[in-house]
Amino acid sequence: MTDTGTGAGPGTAAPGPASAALRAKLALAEPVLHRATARLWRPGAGLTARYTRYLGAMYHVIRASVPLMELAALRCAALAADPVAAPLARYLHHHIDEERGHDDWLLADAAAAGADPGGIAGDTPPAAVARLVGAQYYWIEYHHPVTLLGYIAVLEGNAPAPWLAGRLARETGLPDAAFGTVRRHADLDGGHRDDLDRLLDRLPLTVRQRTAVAVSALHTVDAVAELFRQLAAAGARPAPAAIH
Amino acid sequence: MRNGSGDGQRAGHEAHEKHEKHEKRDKREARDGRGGDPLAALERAGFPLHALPEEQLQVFRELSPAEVALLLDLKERLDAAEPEVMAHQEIAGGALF
Repeated sequence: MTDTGTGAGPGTAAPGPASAALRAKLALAEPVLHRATARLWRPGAGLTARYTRYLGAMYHVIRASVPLMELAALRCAALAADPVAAPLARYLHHHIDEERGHDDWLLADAAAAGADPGGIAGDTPPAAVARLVGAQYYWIEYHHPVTLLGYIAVLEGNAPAPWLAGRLARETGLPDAAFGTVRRHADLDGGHRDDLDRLLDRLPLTVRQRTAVAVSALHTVDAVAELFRQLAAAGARPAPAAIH
Repeated sequence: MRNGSGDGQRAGHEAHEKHEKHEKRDKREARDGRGGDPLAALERAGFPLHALPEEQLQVFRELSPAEVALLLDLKERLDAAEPEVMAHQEIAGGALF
C-alpha cells in the first residue's frame, strides 16, 4: 500500500460525511453517463443489436466484479494496521455473496436474445471494458483497496430505470427472458447503494483515501460513458458474429 | 461607419477564446497538481454551481487537482455530446449494476 493514511495533511481524518461528499461530486459527473445511456437506448433501427452488444459488454464487466472484490479483500488482509481495512473487508465479503453469478444472468439473457453465450464469453473483451475494470486492478494492487468503493458506488448508484426492461422488450420484440438482469437490478441496487453510503460514513477514511475513492468513481463514470458511446455507435454497423 | 454586428461577433469570438484559454489553463494546472481555486475552475467550465448549498460548495473547494481534472474532462465530454440525445436523457437510468 502506498498510503496507510498516517501522518499530517492528506493523511489526517477527513471531515463531514463521506457519502454526501461523494454524491455531490458524482452529481456533477453523472449527466455524462445519463446522456451516454440515452444514446445507447435511443429508439429505432439497431436497438436490438445495441442491446445484444450491451449484454455482451456487461458480461465482460460483471464477470470481474467478484474477482475484483476478492482481490480487494485480500489486499485488506495485508493492511492490518490500517483501521479502514477490516470493516472494508467485511463489507466486501458480504457483497461478494450478493453479486456472485450475475455474469451468468447476462449470458442467459443473451441466449434468450438469440446470441451465442459461448461466443460472447470467448470474444476478446472490448478495450473500453479493460479500461473500466483494469483501472481498478491497478489501484487495488498499487494504491489501496478502498478505491474499489468508488467503482461500486457508480455501478450500483446507476441502476436501470424500473421500466427500462419493459420498454426495451416492447421496442425490440425480444422475449421477456432476455431482460432478466436489467429487471432484477432495477429492484436490487437501490438498497446496495444505501449499504455503501452507510459504510463510507462509518469508515475512518483519511483525506487521501476519500480522494482516492472519488478519483476512482469519476474515472468509472468517464470509462462507462466511453463504453456506452462505443456500444451506441456500433449499433449502426452490422450485428456481431455472435448473434445468430 | 461602425459595423455593430461585426463588433459584436468579434467581441463574442474574443470572449470564447478567453474562455477556452481559461479552461486549458485550469486543466493544465489540475493535471500538474498546481490547482488554483477548484470552485472557480468548475464554474468557468460551465458547471451550474450557483444554486448549490454551502456544504456542497465546500466539498468542491476542497477538490484535489486529480478530481478537478477528471470533472473538467467529463464536462468537455458532456458539452461534446449530440444535442438530439437530450430528448431521451431521463429515459433509462444508468443501466449499470
